[in-house]
Amino acid sequence: MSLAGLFDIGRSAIFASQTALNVVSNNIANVNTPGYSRHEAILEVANPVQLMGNYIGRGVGSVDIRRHYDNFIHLQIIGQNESYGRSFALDRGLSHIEQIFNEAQNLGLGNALKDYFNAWQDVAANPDAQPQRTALLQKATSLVHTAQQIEGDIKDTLKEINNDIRNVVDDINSLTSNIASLNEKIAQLEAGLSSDKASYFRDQRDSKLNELAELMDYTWYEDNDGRVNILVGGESLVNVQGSYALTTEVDIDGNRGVYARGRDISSEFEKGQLGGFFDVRSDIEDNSLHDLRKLIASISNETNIIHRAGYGLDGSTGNNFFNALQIYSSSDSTGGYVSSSSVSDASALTLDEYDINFTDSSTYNIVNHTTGAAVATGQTYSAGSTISFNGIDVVIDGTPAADDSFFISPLTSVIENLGVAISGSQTDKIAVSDTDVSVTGERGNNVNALSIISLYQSGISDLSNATFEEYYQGIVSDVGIMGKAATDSLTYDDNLRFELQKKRDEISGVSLDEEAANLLRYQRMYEAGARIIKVTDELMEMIINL
Amino acid sequence: MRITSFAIFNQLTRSLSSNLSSMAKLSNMLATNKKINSPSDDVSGMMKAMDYKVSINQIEQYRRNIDEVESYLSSADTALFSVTSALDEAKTLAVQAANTPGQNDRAKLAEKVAQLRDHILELSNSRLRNRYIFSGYKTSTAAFDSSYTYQGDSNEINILIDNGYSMTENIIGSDAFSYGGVSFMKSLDNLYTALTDSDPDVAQAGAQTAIDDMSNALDQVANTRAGIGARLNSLDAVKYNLDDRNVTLKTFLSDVEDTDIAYTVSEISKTEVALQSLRQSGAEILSQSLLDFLN
Repeated sequence: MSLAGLFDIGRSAIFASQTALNVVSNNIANVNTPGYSRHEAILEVANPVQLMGNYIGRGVGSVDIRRHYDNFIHLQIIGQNESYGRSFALDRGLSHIEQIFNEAQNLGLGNALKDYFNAWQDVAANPDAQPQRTALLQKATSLVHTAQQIEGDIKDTLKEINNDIRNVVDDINSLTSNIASLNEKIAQLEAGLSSDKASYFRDQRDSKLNELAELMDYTWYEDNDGRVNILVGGESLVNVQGSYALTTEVDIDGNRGVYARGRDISSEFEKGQLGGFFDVRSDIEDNSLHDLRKLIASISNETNIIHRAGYGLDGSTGNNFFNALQIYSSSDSTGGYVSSSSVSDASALTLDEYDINFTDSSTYNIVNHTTGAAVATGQTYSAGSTISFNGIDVVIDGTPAADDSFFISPLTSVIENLGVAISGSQTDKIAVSDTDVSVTGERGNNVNALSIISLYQSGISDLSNATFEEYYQGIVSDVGIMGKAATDSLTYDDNLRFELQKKRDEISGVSLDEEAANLLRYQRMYEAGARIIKVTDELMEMIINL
Repeated sequence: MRITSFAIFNQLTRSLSSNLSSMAKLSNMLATNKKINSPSDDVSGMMKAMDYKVSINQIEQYRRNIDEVESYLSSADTALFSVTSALDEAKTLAVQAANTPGQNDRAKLAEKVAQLRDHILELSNSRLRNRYIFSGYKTSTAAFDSSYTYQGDSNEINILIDNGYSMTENIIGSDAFSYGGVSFMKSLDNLYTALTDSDPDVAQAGAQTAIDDMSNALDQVANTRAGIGARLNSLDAVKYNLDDRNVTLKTFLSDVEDTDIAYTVSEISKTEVALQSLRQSGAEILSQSLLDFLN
């Protein structure tokens, strides 16, 4: 080996340390960049040469730049982000609902409900006094307003959730399109080379995949070209051809669904914010909203049944106190329609919701919408004839086909239609007496009012024998339990995510101390390399000057 | 374990924010004086609180109802008290009339008897807030008409004064103002008619009958008033019981939902200490780096 070889060794040291310094500097510059994976310059000794039976090193050879990255942790983070996104969405929806029913701050129906029955007590104590009657009408009106306010707030929350779903889908679309373009960059850069060459793009794409997991659950795999393929419910969102955007549509009930290639895939989402939002939306509809409507329907129906039996001071009878319940119907049918629906017998109503399902064009079953229990099976359909069950009359007309379904509910529109049927100028019509006052003159008769008061303390069969207060407490307790569970799992998922992030940082994060040490280390290497060249130069000069 | 700058920073901000949020929660407890500020804070506590509130509300309504019953019974009692003195006076007059006074004196006595008769009629038609209190359900009908016949009915107006316990607030006029199916006013009217009769024997016989009638009437009123007294006594008993339960329930409610101030304040100072030390150690750790030592 010649003296000149020393120059090469020195030069290789300088080049290698320069590259290493670049890597270190880049690490330092990205110390706060989320998703950045630390890189490290790996030095390798150059192929030695054999000289007089000895192998002699020829300096530092190729410099490999390695990305510190653990795929297993990345997969865990994606999974954890999906859980976190779901908890986030649940917590967001339920914390709204919890505020609506926040009895701790006297929000909710509690006070209005108590005031309404207190007003009946006051009327019973003063059966023919006008001020108490007027107060009763006011308290009843305020019960109506409070119920409508609460329903409005719940509907607003549902609307917000539907908006959130749309926003999440927008975010998903922009993420998938980002991922698709990163896919292309990675595939191009890595073409023909070993993977990991496009590590900066891979870091970016990992970040996007993390973000995407927070929004929805998806399956994914990386193909041989380094492209990530993303699938949801069997529909491909990102593949070699690029990305495919999800769309949303609003159904007849105002609920927003997610569609891929025209197919409703809303039920495919279990986790991520989308899964959470879909779940919390049906939780609110099936629990808080449904139960509130059932409670109000029960209060108004039970009051009316007793009220109709009593007599007002003017001798009038058969009057409703609240507006009578109406039957809401909606149909999922092309040829058939509900031409009329009404309450035939208020006392036979069970305040359940029903589906009339057609098994073929002339046969239908009636099932309880909530429990799925059969009410009547194998009934023969004849167009325009009345179908009567449990106090409800429904007339279906037209030509229904197999699998057509009609939803019948005494609850859906109850709060919307609720109102006090007796106007402020008709206080005499409040039926406090159980005999015809215009005949008997019993203006002090309070027997009917006492019956209404006793409603407040007795179990109501439509409410599974709970009292109004107990049923309402059940609503609040459900809200509290669901809210608590959501907050707890949000905290849990957030902590777990943080722990995983810490694990990832252990491997991929930048430590400034470490980099500072490396900076010094490669600076010294550079200096020493330069010194080799200088020494070699001096040696050369010495030889030349011989 | 490799610790990175980012991890240290994250850990620190996280601990700071978790401490700050417990701080916010604790100060909210102090501000509202409630430890349950939304149902999810303590679901079972919230349910207990709602239960207590329902019971407290009912008790307070029963207390209002009792006041109502009391005012009715007291008005009836006041009226009957006046009836007693009127009957006493009438009895004295009847005794005088029985002692055969002259015709002029009888006319004067008759005059006084008529006044008492009208006074008692007025009392029997007592009203409270425009309702006739002795007419049963027929609260807008005068209990007795000008021919001293009962116009009301015998229905009892019942008011709930406790769970499953109701009290009748009215006194039936036909019971309170009649003896043997004859109203006191009618008896007095009979006396009046007898005294105005020119025949002293008729007058004396009428006076004799009236003495018995007035004695019976006085007994009857005394009985009715004893009944009212008994009702007022049981009202008092129920009232004390309700008040007692109200105090107990309010104590329970306060235990469930009110902030334990001493505990909360000490928790706040604990959190403050933790926050303080976090900030100090954070300042130390974050400001230190190998870079500081390289020159």
